[in-house]
Amino acid sequence: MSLASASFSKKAKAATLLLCASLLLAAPDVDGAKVAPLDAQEAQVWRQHGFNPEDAAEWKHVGFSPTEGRQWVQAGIPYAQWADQWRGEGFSPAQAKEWVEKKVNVYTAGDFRKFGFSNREALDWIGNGIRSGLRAKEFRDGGFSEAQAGLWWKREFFPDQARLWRDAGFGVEEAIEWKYGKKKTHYMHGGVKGYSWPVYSVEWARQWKAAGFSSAEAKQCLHFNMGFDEAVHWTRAGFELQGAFQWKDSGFGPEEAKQKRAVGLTPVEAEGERDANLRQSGDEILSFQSDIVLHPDSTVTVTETIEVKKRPDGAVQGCFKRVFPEQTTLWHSGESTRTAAPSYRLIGVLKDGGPARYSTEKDSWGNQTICITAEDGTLRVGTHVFTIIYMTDYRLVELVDHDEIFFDVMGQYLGMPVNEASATVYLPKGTDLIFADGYAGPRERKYFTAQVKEADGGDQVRYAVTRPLKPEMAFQVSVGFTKGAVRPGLMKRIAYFDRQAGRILSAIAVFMGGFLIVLIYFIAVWRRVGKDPDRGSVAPQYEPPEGISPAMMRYIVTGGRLDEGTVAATLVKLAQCGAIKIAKEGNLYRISRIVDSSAVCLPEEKAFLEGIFSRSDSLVVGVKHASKTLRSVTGPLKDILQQEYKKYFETHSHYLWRILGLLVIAAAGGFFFLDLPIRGRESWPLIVYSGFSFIVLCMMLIVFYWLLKAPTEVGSKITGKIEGFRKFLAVNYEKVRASGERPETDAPPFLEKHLPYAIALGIDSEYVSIRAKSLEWYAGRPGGFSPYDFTSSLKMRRKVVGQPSRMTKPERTGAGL
Amino acid sequence: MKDGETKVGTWKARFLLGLFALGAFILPYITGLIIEYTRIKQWELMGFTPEQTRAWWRNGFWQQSEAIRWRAARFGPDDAFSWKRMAFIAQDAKEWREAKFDVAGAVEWRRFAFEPPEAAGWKTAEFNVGDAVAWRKYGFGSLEAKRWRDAGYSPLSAADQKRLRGSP
Repeated sequence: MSLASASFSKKAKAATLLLCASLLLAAPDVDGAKVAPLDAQEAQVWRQHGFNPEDAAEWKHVGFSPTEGRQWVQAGIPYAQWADQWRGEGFSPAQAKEWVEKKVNVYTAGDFRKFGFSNREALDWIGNGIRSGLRAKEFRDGGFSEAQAGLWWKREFFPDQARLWRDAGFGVEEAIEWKYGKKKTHYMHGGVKGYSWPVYSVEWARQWKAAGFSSAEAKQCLHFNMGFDEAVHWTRAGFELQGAFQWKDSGFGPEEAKQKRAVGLTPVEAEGERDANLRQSGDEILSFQSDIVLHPDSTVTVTETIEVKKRPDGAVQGCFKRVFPEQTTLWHSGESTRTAAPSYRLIGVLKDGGPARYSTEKDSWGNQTICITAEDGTLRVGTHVFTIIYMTDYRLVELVDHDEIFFDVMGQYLGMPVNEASATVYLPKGTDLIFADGYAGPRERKYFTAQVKEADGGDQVRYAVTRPLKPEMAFQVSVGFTKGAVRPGLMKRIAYFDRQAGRILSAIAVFMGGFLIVLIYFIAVWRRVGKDPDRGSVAPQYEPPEGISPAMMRYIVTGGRLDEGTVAATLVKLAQCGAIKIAKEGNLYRISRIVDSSAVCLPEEKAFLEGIFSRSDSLVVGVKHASKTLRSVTGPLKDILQQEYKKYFETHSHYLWRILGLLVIAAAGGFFFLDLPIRGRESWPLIVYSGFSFIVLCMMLIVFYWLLKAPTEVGSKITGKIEGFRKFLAVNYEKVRASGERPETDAPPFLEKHLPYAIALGIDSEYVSIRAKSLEWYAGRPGGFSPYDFTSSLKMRRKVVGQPSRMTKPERTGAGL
Repeated sequence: MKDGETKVGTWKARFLLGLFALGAFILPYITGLIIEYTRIKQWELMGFTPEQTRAWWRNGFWQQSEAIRWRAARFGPDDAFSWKRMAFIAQDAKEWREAKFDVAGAVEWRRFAFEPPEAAGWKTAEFNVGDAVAWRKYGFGSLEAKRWRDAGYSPLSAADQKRLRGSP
């Protein structure tokens, strides 16, 4: 409703509002009871107590005396109904006054009274923020004072929870600290912001607190998978928890760590000393430096400089392999945001600063592996520096208020330890860094330092890992920055979606491309063979085309379908020939063979005749059994009609098969592009693509079949003649009906003669046939033969629930071709 | 028209035309009023008076649920409009207002991805947005940044010193 319209016409608006008001006034009184006016004497008494007659009538109506009313008004309750509520809850005016002054409503006051609180007590509880009598009672039963209860209640502890935490030795703030984990915000659909946070149990908190851990330490242990007993063990061995994590990550137990620390070793030094012998025998990466340049279109250029020490018995066999995973997980605030499917474009590979020989291959998981050797194709023992430059994408995490780049620096399993690892992230100009975070070491540890540098080209963050990384350890960086400067384009987003959705868009594009080619081929074919020849003008025909039986005519008219009309037209034709007699017995039709006059019939009629009377000489139509018989005996008729039909219509099915083949190839081409649901991939893209291509394929085949079917030269002539004949019959049958006001006049004999054709063509011949009381071949009650009723009684098709019968009353103008 | 032409009197034609013109205006207008009245009644069920309802509509809040969210966050229609215009949802706007920011200030701090309490901290420590961004870049919180700034350090030098000494 536009606001502008509201100011158009005040009069019209007033009229509408008046109407609405009158409707409202006409509504019955809600209370039901009418307030009786006071007489003059009563009014005088009430006036003396300070009430005007209208108010006084109200007070009297709810049962107050003038004195009582005065008391309630003085208590600050000036309305009769309101006073009645207070009285109903059992309060006197003086008691109610105390509540009203504290702005407490009557039901809250009643609630407190119900649970046995005095006015004073109740007001104390309310003053501490507990406005429910039930909750106040629960807190009181739990041994809380009003003030204590107020504190717990304000921090959203229900009485039972508050009692649990208090009994476990926690104060309110302490309980909050232990009970809840980090709060996380979620933006939901419809502009609603939701929050979630982990909740810890009181038993868990009591155990850790009793052992002297802070809530932060306890939660960190839980996060880093260190159990309670283990944590206690480390602290008893004299370690701070942070130190314990470091020693544990270096592979030491508390006792061993204690010894190492006693001789002045740090965890990393102790680990290095222990692993020195081990390292001598295997290959290792001496240093791993990665320069990660984020571009404004969200693509990333990565330059990795990897110094590898190859030893005789090392893991590097033949070549140095670097694997680029097909899928990677992006993380935000310790939570997986999505699985990304990045693309890779190799820009350059160097070995020791010079050109290198390399090959790339894709494994069955879709991961790309680059295999680097020296120019001569070998990799000798010694130290080699490999430089790999590549471009990748899909590393951006777009959040509501900022963006992040998440990059897994080490990527896929390297297969050897890394002594020193570092990475530098270059942000594009115009972004402002918000935070530099990440993970380095085992399971979400942060063994790294991050140093920020502001440069002309944009902010830079240099990460340096502070411990050697074992093969199974990770190094991932996460840099948050302000929104606006990095924005993937539309095509990039489509490409991301495609990769994310198992390349379903690519598959559909390939299929549609193939389909387009098929369509061009089809148009060429259709122009050559599918176009209907020009029939020219249709001249009226006074006789049916020679050699065309009613059954054949019906078959042509219905486009090659055998239905009740075909059978009815054939039976009437046979009756006219004198081969059978049709008799109506009640609601049923009896068809009896009277003489063998099949010689006068056309072959399809003869075949049909033989079929229906193969077992007995009569058949009752309309009985279930007879319908079944009819269905079973139409086979030979159909075969002959089908054979004949081919003379008149060409389906060009060989073209259809070719088109089907090409479409299947196009659909199969799409499958090659699709990520098939193997090795953990989702199956929905395959299901959607299969469904889509199947539906398109079926639909197109139906359309192509319909378009490719065309009449032959003979067929074109025949259809023209049939149409001419149809026009002739339609006009004449209609003419008879129009002159039906004179029933004594007989219809022309040729109309009775052509009755089978009228039935075949769907022309309304009821009037003629019913009037024709002297049909020789029909025996029934007076009123004649009804083609509609007869056709309907044949019921060739099994009736399917929900599917309308095809036997409809013929149109007056007849069916067109 | 049996005879091919039927004559209509001039005045009758004018009257019909006038009636049609009137109907063309009145019908949509009355329909509009009825719809408006019905909607006002619906809003009344949620405690909006007709005047309040119109005020919310005037400010572009056509959905009752949205108006309820803003009202629950204690915003009037005019206030809500100014926050909504800058793409704040009701809960965020409430948080910013509770952190004592007006719309312009909230927009400025939000642009650089500051949360309301965080922004309030920087503001209390007397940092403007630009300075806050620079200090945050080097990993400082508002209180720590204030200590270093008060000791005469720039963000870069403070970051260097922090690595060496830990505190100012």
